[in-house]
Amino acid sequence: MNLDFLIAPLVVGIIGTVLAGLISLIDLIVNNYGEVKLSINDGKKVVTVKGGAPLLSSLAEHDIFLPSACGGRATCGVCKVKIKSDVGPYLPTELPFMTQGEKQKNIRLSCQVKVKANLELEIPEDLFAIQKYSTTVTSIKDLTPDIKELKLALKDPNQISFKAGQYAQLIIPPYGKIKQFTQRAYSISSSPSDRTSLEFVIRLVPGGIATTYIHTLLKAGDDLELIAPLGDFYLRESEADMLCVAGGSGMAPIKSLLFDMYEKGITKRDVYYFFGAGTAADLFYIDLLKDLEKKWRTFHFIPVVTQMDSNDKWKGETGLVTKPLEDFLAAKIPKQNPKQAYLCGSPGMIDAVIKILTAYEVNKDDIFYDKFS
Amino acid sequence: MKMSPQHNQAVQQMQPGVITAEGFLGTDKRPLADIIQADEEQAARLDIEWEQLAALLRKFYKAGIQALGGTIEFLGKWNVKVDEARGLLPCPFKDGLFHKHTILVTHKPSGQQLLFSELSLHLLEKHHFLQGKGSTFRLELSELKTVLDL
Repeated sequence: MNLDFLIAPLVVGIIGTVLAGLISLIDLIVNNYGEVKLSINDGKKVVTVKGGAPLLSSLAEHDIFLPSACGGRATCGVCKVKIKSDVGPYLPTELPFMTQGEKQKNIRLSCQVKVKANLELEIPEDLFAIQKYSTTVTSIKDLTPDIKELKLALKDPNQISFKAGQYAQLIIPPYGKIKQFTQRAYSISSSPSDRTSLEFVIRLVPGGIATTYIHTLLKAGDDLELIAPLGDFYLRESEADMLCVAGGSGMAPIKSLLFDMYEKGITKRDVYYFFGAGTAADLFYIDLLKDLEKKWRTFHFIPVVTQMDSNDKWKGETGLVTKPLEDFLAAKIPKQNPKQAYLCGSPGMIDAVIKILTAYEVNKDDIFYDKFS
Repeated sequence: MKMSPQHNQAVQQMQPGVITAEGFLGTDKRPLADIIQADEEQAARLDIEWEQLAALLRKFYKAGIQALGGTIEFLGKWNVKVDEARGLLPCPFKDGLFHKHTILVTHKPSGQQLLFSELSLHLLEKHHFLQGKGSTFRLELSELKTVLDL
C-alpha cells in the first residue's frame, strides 16, 4: 500500500511539535525571573517572591493586600502603589487611571506591573492592617426587588476591627462558566461594634459576575472569603452639622456611620440623612432609621422617592434626592453652622450634590464621598 | 463573512466570565462576523443608520442619568432609568473602558422596554455589534425601531 500521502502531514506534525517544545523551553528560560525581593518602605519590610507574576498578587501572597475593586483586571484603577525602581514605561491599560502628578511620582497600577527584578516600593502603613478573612454566610435576604442584605460570620480570623464607612473585597469563587476567582468591593453596612460579623447591601448588576453569584447562588451556610478593611471613607471628628446623602445601595456605609455614631454617643451634632430611591418599592431600612430618629434627637432622616407609581402609598418626599437637600439648606439648616457632608452613590448624584453643597458654601475639603466608579 | 484576527480575539473576551458573567454571545452559535453582518444587513433593510441610532440612544442615556438613579420621563413618551455600579468594563475589542451603567428605556404607550449599557452603546456605535441572540443586552433592531419610534 502506498503511504506517501501520510508523509506531508507527518512532517508538518513533527515540525509543529518541535517548534512547540522550543517555544516552551525558551519561555521557561526567558521568563524565569527566579526569586525577587520586594523592599517596602525603605526596607522596613522585605519579602521574597517568585518573579514573573503581577505585583498585586505577589504582595497578596505575603498577606499584603492593596485595595483593588476589580481583583486585578485593570478596570478599577484602585491598586495604585509608588514604585521607586524602574519597571519600564506605563502600559496603555494603566494610563486612563493616572494623573500627571501620579506619573511624575511613578505611581503604578500594581495589577499591571510584573515583578521581574528586585523592587523598592512605598506602601502606606495602614494598609498592613488589611487581612484576608474566611467567613460563613449566616443570612441573605431581599431588601428590594434588586437589593439583598448579606450577613457573614467571621471564621478565621474570627474578629475584625474597621472604621464605619470602609469596604471589603468579596472573593467570588469560580461558578458555572466562570473559571477564575473574582473580587469585587462592597461597603460594610454593619456597625464596627460587631466585631465578629459583617453585613453588606448588594444590588444586582445585570450581567455582573459577583452580584449574579450573590443574588442567585449564594445561600446561608456557604463559605465566602473576603479582604478587609479598605477605604478612606469614614467619620471625621467635628462638631459641624452633618449632611449625609445616599442613593440605593449607597445606604450601606452611611448606615454603618450613623449606627456607629449613635453607639459611641456622638449624638450632639445635627445629622441630616437624605436617602434617594427610584420608587417606593426601592426603599429599605426605613423603619430601622425612623426608629433611630426617635431615639436620637438631633438625627433627621429624609427618605425621597424619585417617581411615584399610581398604587404607591408613599407619603414622604418625592423628586430627586437633591430637592429636599436644597430645601433644607435654604430654609431649615442654619446657614452660619459649619457643615460636613458624607455622600455615597452614583457619580452623577455625587456631582449634583457637591454642586449644591458648594453653592451653600460648604467647603470642598469637608465633603467626603464614596463614588461608585 | 470571514473572521478577522480582531474578531477572534474579541470572541475570547466575549465568553462568559471573562468580562461579564453571561458574556456577550448568549446562545448564538453563529460566528461573530456573521452576527455583525446579519445585523448590518437588517439595519439597511429597516433604513436604520448606526450613527443616528447611537446618537438617539445617547440622548436617552444623558436624560436618564439626570434622574440620579431614579426614573425620569423623556419627551412625554418614555421613562428612562440609569443604574450605576462600581467599576469599569473593558470593550471586548479592547478599544476602551466603560462605566457599568445600565439604561432601561420604557416606551409608555406600549410598555415595551429595552435595556442597554454604556458598553453596549459603544459596541453598537463602533463595531455594529448588538450582541448574540439570548444575551441579556442583545438589542434587536426591530424592537429598537418600535420602542424608539424610528
